[in-house]
Amino acid sequence: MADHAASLWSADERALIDALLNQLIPSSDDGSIPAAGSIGVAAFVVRALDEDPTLQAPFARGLARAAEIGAGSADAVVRIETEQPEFFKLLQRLAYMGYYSRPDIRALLGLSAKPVHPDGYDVPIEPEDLMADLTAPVRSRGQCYRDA
Amino acid sequence: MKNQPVDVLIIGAGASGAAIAWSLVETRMHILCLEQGDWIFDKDFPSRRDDYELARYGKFSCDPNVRGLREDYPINADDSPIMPVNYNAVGGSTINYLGHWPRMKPSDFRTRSLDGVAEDWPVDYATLEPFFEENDRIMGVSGLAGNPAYPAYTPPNPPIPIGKLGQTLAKGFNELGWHWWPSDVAILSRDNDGRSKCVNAGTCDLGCAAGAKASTDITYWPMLERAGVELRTGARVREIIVGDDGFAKGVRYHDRDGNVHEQLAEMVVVACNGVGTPRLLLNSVSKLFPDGLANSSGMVGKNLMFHPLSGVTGRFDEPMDGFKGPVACSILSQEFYETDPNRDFVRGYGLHAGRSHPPATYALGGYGVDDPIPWGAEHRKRMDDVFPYIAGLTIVTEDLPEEHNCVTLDPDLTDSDGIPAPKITYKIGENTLKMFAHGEARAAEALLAAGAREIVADGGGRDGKVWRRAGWHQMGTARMGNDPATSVVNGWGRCHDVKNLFIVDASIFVTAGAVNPTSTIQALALYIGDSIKKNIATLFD
Repeated sequence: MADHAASLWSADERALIDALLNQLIPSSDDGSIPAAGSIGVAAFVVRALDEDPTLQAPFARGLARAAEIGAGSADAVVRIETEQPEFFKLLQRLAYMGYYSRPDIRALLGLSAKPVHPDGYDVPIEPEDLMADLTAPVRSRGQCYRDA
Repeated sequence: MKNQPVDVLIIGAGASGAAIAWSLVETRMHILCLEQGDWIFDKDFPSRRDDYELARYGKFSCDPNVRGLREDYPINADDSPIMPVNYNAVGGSTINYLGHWPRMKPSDFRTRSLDGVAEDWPVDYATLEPFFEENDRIMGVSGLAGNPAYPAYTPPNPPIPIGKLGQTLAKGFNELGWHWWPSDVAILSRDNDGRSKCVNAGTCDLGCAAGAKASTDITYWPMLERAGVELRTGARVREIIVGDDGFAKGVRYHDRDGNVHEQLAEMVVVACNGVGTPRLLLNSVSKLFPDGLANSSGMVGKNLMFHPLSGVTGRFDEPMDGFKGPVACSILSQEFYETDPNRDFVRGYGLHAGRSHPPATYALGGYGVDDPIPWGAEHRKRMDDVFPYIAGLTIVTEDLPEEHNCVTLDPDLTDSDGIPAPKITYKIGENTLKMFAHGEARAAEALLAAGAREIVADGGGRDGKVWRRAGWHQMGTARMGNDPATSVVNGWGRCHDVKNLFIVDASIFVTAGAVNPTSTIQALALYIGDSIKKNIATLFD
């Protein structure tokens, strides 16, 4: 898939997408959470474009303008966002989708890396006495609906 | 093509169609259900895949226009701030609903008498009570008995965990002296009836691969099939056919390949939800009913009600683990549910403590809206300093029936069989806007009382924006009533105009309440089934 995608978008364009992705989702200060471009989210982006050819032309136009402006600073990216809103919204959406749906990123945010079924998460059911204590003030005030 | 005639033809295998079929099983009538969707199996649910969150934005979106599957029909909601959402399969929208299960309350059925708005229902809470109970048992409801916001009842299973988020918010409500209670849910807190308990995956809207959430394909339908009810999937009804005598004769439907079949029946039951039902009636035009079937009142498609909602989010000092556990709902406050003459609106709203989102959904704007969180340095801050620590409250308002809010047929748009698609025309009412203002202030108060450090715009649709994808509950478009001039069906679901045609979904709701409707939809369907049995000797008189 990556090879095929590479055929649609040149190495320069791929590098530009990586640079933009790094601006959109930067790494954490200590580097423990990586930036989006650095872990290959571009592959997700180009795959999505591959699967929906109607997106390719607007994306290519936006990317061409981005190449002129550059992606080296947040200010440059703000300019791209302002001048090419359609392109930018699409890239932002695909960046978030591609990045946060990755098991490795999910794990860094405290979620399970595994598919959420069948294991799910362990959340203990509250003991009856805890629920009794918590609800006591509500029960003590009595009926709070209107008879009809 | 013609098929063997049946006694009862039910259109739609979702919440209400399954429930009424169950009620009618004991009559030994030949019951056939036509469902435009297919069976969906647990192995097909996205939560078993690595990238499960992406399904929310593709083939498992709650928005039929995004899914665009063969069994879906498009909905034109350009003239509505709220998009109706649904699912088309055996189980209907119980496949992707959240299983939040509050009942409507006694006052919901008497809004005209009590508050001078809308109309009273021709049926009341006490009449429905045994049917709530029967349905809760079949669906496998979990909850805590003793809620002082309702007449006494006991859910069949103990409550699911309210979790850290729920416990934290509960303390806030207690601090203020406001009502709250662990939510009733159609989700199992313990293994029951061959189904396993909830694993707290937090993907209720993507179908429950554990089988813990009660969708009718795994609750009612196995019983119905064992009892001999026939279910034909991939069968999309084009129109209900009416004879010269004014009775429904049956339907014309398309199979998966588009071929048209005719299916005759002694009695037709419509169970297609508050958008699908008026669409079908309006598409069923004949010499006797030129404006749509059973529409002499002109009320078919009118008075569309949703539950408009917005929300408020607080950031706490400790992680709230909001992604763990069923999405909706942890706890529910009905402190502001009933009318209070001191407020500038009538009726009321609920404050729902739903759990929060997993990261992709959070970053993209939440379940209800597409409004991505910022990029760049601010993005990092949101994900690191806000996302883990949030808990929110949604304000779920009672919508009032207004005739200009309606379902009509789109002049151009059709489904893949060429059947005209529904068009939604809807405006959020003045009363609702006042409720939002009141509710957002109260929600913020409750969050701060619970220990929130601050109220944040979290991009999760809980920052005062009305949710776009909030049209889960579609009600009122073929309403009940005793007067044929102002209502479509009588007090037990029979059309005033067509005596062998029944409607059993939320179209027949007279008012909306401010609670998720499925519990009431199914209780009402069981009640209608019971009324059919009681009136069987004179059913079509």
